Amino acid sequence: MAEKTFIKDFTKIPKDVKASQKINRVSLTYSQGVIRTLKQNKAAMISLGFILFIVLVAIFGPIFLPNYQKTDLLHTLEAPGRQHWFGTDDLGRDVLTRLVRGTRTSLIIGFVAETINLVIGTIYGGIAGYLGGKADILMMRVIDVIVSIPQMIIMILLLTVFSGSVGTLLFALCLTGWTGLARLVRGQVLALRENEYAMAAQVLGASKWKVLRTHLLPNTIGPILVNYTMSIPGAIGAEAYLSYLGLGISIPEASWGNLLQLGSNQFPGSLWLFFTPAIVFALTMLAFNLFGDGLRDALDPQMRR
Amino acid sequence: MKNEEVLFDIQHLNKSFKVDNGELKAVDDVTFQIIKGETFGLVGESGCGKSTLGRLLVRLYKPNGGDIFYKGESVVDLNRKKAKAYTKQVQMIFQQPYASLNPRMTIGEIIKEGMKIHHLGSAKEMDDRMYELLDMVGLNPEHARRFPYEFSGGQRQRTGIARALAVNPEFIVCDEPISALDVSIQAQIINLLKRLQTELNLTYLFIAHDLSMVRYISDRVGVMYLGSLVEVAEPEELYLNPLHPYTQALISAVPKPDPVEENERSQIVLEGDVPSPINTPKGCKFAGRCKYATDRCRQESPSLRKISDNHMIACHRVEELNHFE
Repeated sequence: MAEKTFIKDFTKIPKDVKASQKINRVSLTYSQGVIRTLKQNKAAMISLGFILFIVLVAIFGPIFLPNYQKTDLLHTLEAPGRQHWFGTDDLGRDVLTRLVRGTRTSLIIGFVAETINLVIGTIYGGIAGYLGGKADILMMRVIDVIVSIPQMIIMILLLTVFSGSVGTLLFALCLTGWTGLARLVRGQVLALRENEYAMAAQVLGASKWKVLRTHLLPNTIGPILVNYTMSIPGAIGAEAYLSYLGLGISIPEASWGNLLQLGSNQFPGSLWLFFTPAIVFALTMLAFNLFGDGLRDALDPQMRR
Repeated sequence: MKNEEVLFDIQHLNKSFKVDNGELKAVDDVTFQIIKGETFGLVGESGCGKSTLGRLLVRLYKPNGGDIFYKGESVVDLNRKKAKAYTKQVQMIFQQPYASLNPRMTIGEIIKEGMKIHHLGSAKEMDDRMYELLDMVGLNPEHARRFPYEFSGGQRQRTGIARALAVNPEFIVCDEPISALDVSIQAQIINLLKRLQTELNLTYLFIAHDLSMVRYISDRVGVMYLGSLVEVAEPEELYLNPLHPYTQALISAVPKPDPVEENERSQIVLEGDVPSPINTPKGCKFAGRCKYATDRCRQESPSLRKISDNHMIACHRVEELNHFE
């Protein structure tokens, strides 16, 4: 009936429905998109480069500079020079060698502790958030109890009883460290659980475990990764203050913590002793944060340009 | 309906949620049947329990009382195996096209999800079926590799429809599938649903609050008020001859396309607001706002009863009132 009002001069052009739905943007898989967005972020790429460099130093450095405990009483507290690039300490040990060795110790503590926390926290928080109800309340109260005891007291207590080795430090950091991530994941899952795509999967017959694994956890990855990258320097920092108090890794072993301690003992006489580990420490912290930020943007498809 | 095979038999279904200050009765003693091949429209204001009812049917929620029979078998308590088999027959289309697709999965993966869960064929067969479904709902094959955020609302909703169809269901709960879309797209989706229904012999429970849309698509319409089903009838009967005072008010609020009729339309304005569904008093739910309410209405809750062949109503005074008019 609408045809009657058409003026004869007009001809109707048939509409190609399929063509009108064409999307011009290049089609990317999920991981291609992530890499592409990450590459566009300069700060994140520089940070990634720095992190990779630090990691490589931690892995291979001690092979080339093995004598981190060798003392040389004739050359104590030497300023940076040709012989010792970063100078020597009060017992004539080469600071660069000790820094390289300390990087290995500190990164092992940072990565291992936070990876353990990541696994425990994600599983615990994911289960609490997904089950909900009484199980959730119970599991969260357990966390509240753990959190109510100051982390530092637990760590100091543990390290006073046991000797300050890497193993003890890891145990002390992981005993309470996973709670923050568990809370985060639980909150995320709780919010996502009400999402219609989780419901749709349930209606399609997916088991609870499958819904959690394929729909809920992948969508919490952004905040988890940001938390992970930001807590690695946190763990390294915890090692630093414990070593500073004489509870962590003690000399002659090397870690960023006891290097800083030594440096501050000699402050302000031999500044290089303090500033070399401090600068490396600060740059590492910054790099992890910037990279985590860039990664979060890249992992979220809606943030892509 | 010529060949009346009851697909769903819902008996005295109850669902309440515990809230801080009492009990929220979302679905209260609802009894009705859905016949194979029909579209049962469910209308009511927001918060009246229509979505909860839909979710009860797909077993997202567990009822507090009553029973749901699918093809004569109760589906309230199912073991894991039977529950999974049930999901192959009963599917759902969701309200929010933006929230109902996982942003990390491609359209193809989303459509194949159900097939993977139920192991419907090899990878190649699933791909073929996925492309067939894309075509069926009017999407291009190249869309399979795209992510939901690259699509419009209508396209996303069609993806949701394809996902539900992937497991070859017999029954689909359409939970306000068009309310989040704009009007031109609404018609597209409705026509798609209608076409699929005839092609695939589907049965729908169509939940909506758009009365004219429900009239267009439904074979029978149920009106819900505060968790109770107050009237069930065929759409023409319901729209031309509403019997329940609430339905009368609801229908009178639908604008007429003809301007002359629209001018003459007199809208029944109900007094007050919809009361809170938390700790509702006994008696007819509508009694507080009904101008015909008597003491009996306030004491005794009316149940849904047949008053003519295709008309059911839950009102104590329906006979006497319709004598007067």
